[in-house]
Amino acid sequence: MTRIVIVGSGASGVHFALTALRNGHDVTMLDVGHQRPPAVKPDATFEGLKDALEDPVAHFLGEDCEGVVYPATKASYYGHPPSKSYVFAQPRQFVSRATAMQPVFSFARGGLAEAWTAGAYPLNAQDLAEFPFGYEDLAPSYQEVARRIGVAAERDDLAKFIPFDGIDYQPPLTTDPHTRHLLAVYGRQRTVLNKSRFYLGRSRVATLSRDHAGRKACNHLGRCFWGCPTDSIYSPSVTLRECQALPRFRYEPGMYVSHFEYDEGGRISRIGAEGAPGGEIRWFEGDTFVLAAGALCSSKIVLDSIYRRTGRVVELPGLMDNRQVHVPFLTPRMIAEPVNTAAYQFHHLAFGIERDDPAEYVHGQITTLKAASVHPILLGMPLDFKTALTVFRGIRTGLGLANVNLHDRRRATSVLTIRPTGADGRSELLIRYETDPNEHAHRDAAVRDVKRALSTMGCIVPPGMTRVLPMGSSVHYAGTLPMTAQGGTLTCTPDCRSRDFPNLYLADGATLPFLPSKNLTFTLMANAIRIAETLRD
Amino acid sequence: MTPFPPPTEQLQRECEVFTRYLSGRPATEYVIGKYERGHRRIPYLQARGVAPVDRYLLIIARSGTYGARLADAYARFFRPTGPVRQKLALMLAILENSPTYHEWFNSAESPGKVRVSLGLIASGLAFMVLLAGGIVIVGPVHLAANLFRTAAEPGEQAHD
Repeated sequence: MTRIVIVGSGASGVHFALTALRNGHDVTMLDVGHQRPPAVKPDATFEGLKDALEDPVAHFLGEDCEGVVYPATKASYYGHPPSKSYVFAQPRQFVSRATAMQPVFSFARGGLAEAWTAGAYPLNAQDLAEFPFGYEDLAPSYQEVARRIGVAAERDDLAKFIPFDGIDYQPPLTTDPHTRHLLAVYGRQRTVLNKSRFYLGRSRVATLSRDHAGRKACNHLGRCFWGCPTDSIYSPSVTLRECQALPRFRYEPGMYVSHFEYDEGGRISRIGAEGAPGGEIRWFEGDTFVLAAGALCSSKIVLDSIYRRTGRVVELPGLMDNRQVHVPFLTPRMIAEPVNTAAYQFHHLAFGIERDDPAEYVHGQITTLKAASVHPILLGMPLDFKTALTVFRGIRTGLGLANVNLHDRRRATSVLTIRPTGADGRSELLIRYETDPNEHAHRDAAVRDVKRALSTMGCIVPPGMTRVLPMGSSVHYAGTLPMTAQGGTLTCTPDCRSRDFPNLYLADGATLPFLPSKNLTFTLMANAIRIAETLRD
Repeated sequence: MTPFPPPTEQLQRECEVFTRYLSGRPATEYVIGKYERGHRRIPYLQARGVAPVDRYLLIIARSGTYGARLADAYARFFRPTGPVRQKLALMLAILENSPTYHEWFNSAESPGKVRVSLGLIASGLAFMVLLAGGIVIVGPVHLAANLFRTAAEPGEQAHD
């Protein structure tokens, strides 16, 4: 039995923990752990809730209407509602500064995946070409994650890029009329679209279409964005609860981990955490330590630990993130159809665009508009609000959004480091991202291909409304402590064990040597299981 | 200098006009209460002052539903982040989440494509007329204010 100390309760941390616990290890999980508020009226629909609640404005916008998106403010990427503010709340001890990037951090119980849109895409052999292991090494872990969390999917054209066999999927979710229309048109235009290397299919989503492990299938309340009240959309706190039911698991919330202490050989003896800002450090001992706090926060713990012991400020090059582009579109055929907001709100469709270099494969998801917060949409329309509302009501059933993701590579110029801020060893995290000089060309080509495909499917892309999101918005941060076959300082072995600290594992995106365009979270969970299984040996 | 929040009666009057403008219905007590509370955090109150053109637009917007629409149309293009658009965004957000009003925002009858298309054309034309009216009524004041740029006076800020 090994005493394992895990930092972070996000997607990677909880799946590492559950695997380790099932293999008989003793696990302590340290976490800041901001908690999700209890679900209100779990049977009410999105619209029904506005009649059922005594104060619906407080629920949807916050007590002081802090969830309103104003024209003067820099809107956040997704305009998160107050019910999700716990996901993004930061402890006072954590300070960061970023250049050319707007990173998002989470110290929530369950991490950033408490606010994800549930896209669950296994990588294929081409995506993993630059990894120090192959698809066959990760496949059993993908199957295990799918078994644990439940993933709805369908065999379709996307199986060309997204492995389907060998993973037990649930049947796909029930779709809305707009999605069905797009799929039907794709079926008719498939030859033309495939010739231009565009492929459409159903999203693979960690949302239940059937009851699974005590969780209920999606009942189409239309409240996904505000937090699924029935846990039909998977979040890591589901697995955390599973861990908490096991006897060898100890969960320590309210702990902000600052650094670890190590000996001459790099062996970690203990890891320190503050219960309150400026409070005494509490130490946790173990045999093996696992950082799963997200690539940026885990890297900061490593940097701070080195600084506190040696006084050296080191840099971690290679930070990656997926560039995202939002392409809104209108399907005229769907205008003036009946509105149904009681529907699964997130994406039902995904697409892939093949490239000559498989690493440059473009991945995307299509969300048709169902339930929505209307005022941010009206703000973006070049009309007064009254006219915008009339237009919106007329066309809303034909509105959709294609979210295009691009791959990223490690570059020496995208760097994480720290800036010491006091004698007590505290520091702030400095993030400097430099865009790939070729990104513009990749991005423009991808957007052009998406627009052409949408046009072939009878959709209109309004000019001037395509939006390149700031770097950081995909929240797929990776690459700062990469796993390599060759070795090197501040790298990890193929099993994600640090080469500098032999009893330290990094279970999150920090170890990825390449960032494919597909959504990362499913792979992070699978990789965490793969690493945890190595401890069995 | 931070502008003082407008007095309660003025906010209530504003809320009543904006609610009628956006939804065609009178404001309920719930909505007025929410508007008053939400208004405390409205971003322009954190700014250093309210520009003369914005004060003028607010006077027009508060005058009634037609004034609100005219001020809104003008502000969308010439003062897109000013107080009028901020106040209307707050009002919209409250209405779309309030009993009595929310269905207007998140449901739509299905009158058929032809009627919807005609409605869209009519709305577009109405918008252009309003925008032209806004340019005629507000444009000269805006221009003059820019030409004779003056610092906002505290006494004026007290009204908004």
